[in-house]
Amino acid sequence: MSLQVRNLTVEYHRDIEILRNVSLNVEKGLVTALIGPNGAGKSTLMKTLSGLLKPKHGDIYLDGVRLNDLPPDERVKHGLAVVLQRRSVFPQLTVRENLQLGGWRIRRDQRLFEDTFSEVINLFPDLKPRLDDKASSLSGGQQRMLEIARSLMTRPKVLLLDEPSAGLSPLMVKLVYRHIKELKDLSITIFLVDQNIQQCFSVADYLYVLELGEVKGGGSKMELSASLSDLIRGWLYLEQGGKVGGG
Amino acid sequence: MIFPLEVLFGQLLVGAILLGGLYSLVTIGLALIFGVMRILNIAHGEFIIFGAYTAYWITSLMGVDPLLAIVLAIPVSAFLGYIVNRLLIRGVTKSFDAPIVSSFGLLLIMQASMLIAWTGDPRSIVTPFTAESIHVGPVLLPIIRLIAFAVSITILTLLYIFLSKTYLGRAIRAISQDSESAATLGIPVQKIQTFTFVLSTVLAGISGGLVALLLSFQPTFGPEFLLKSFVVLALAGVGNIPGVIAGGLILGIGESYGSFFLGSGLRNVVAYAMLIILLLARPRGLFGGRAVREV
Ligand SMILES: Nc1ncnc2c1ncn2[C@@H]1O[C@H](COP(=O)(O)OP(=O)(O)O)[C@@H](O)[C@H]1O
Ligand SMILES: [Mg+2]
Repeated sequence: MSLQVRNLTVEYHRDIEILRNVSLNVEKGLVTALIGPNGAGKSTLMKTLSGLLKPKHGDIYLDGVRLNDLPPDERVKHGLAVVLQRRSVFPQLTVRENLQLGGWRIRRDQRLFEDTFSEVINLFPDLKPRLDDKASSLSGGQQRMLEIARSLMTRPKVLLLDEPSAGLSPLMVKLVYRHIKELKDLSITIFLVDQNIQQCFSVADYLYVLELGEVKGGGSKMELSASLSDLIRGWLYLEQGGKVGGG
Repeated sequence: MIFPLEVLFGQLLVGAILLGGLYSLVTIGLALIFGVMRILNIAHGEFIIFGAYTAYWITSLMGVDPLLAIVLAIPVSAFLGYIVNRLLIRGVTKSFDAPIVSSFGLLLIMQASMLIAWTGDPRSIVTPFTAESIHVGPVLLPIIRLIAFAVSITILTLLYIFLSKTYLGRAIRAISQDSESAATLGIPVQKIQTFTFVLSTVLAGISGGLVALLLSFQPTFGPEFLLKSFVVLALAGVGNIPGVIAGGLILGIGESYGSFFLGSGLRNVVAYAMLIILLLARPRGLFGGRAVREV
């Protein structure tokens, strides 16, 4: 077992619990996906796992190490990396500089640093001709690639991906998912959130469903696909019901 | 009144540029802290004045050379910066307003402490070459201003190279562009912010030491330098180092010509006027848009 979440409760404002007693497991070497309607709290969970938000209670373990009290940068040392839902490249730095900064933890080991850099660049060959361009000059899809590539520079054991394909063209979505499959083949453990249910199903080994801040169930692809259409109908109702905001 | 052209465009302009270079150094600490910590350090001017006093006391009590005294004052500024960051800034950075309020408190505390410790008497550092100048054609270059200018521009150039060419420097810029994303890459944001805060107070201290060579100063002069820094940053637009240098030069020129034509009593009024005009012309304000984001 890789990442364990136990009874996690998170709130932005006092007594408005966005996540309630969320428990789930992300198994080593697999792709685990979290699906759910807009505003369910998926990004809130990702931010809490990466240390950007502090939970009200509950525990997060990575390979048995309790992460709760560690700041985000310390969690990276333990092998946790995240690609946030929002755009997060350093716009005024070059693509190369963005990637290099992902290697902060290994910066003193020049050999490892350079090997990692070339591994990452080989995985994302589209970035190669753009290495010396400012990150802000990349298209949305390319920036997404850069964000994923940069997170790999931390040499993560577990990679959290929050809506990696949101807002991208269908062609780019395909490309992003091809990369996710490649990472899976490299046996990087992945915890994935995406609104693109179809792609999620295509890559995930196990899925959890999150609604209104609570885990409503989970199962393998086979187990869930039967009830999928009912699920999605329910979400449309939730999203239109005005009970939850966008996210 | 008719002024000879060589005065208008020679002596006056050269003096203005030399002063402007120092104004750039005076400003850079404020820009760095704002860029990396999103804190408007209202007490910035007090760090400058503190640096001036530290250099002053080192040179007058220990009898060392004034320029060496400015160097020896560096650890003192660094220590003060570290303590202030530890006690006042960390822990309150969660809210945007809190550091403004606490740095305003710091301004009052530092100003009062310096008044109590060192009285309000105006001081200045006199060097062997305070009254010396070199002639370049018809223009007189006061050596002390030349030194202040050269030191300022050298430090800013080194800082520019540090921020753009070194790994740590790039991490600092990364934090100023997106601190959350920097943290998720394993960059120790808080440590680097502490480092940047200390670096900024050191830069403010050095600029204060140079100010002490050029002008007489008192504990209450801090806000004047805060104002100058605001003007430079409003001028600098995108807050990069070349922009800060350009802004400093423009302020130096504006002030010098302003006080030449309007009388030196109005020197600060010129700075205020420049600030007001800039803010009217750039309604997004001092830190609107991307100004000062990228240091
Ligand atoms: N910074 C915030 N402050 C307060 N409420 C927030 C914040 N971010 C998200 N929320 C609220 O938390 C809920 C879950 O948001 P989010 O985690 O972004 O959902 P998802 O990623 O599943 O769409 C929403 O109701 C949203 O309005
Ligand atoms: Mg989201």
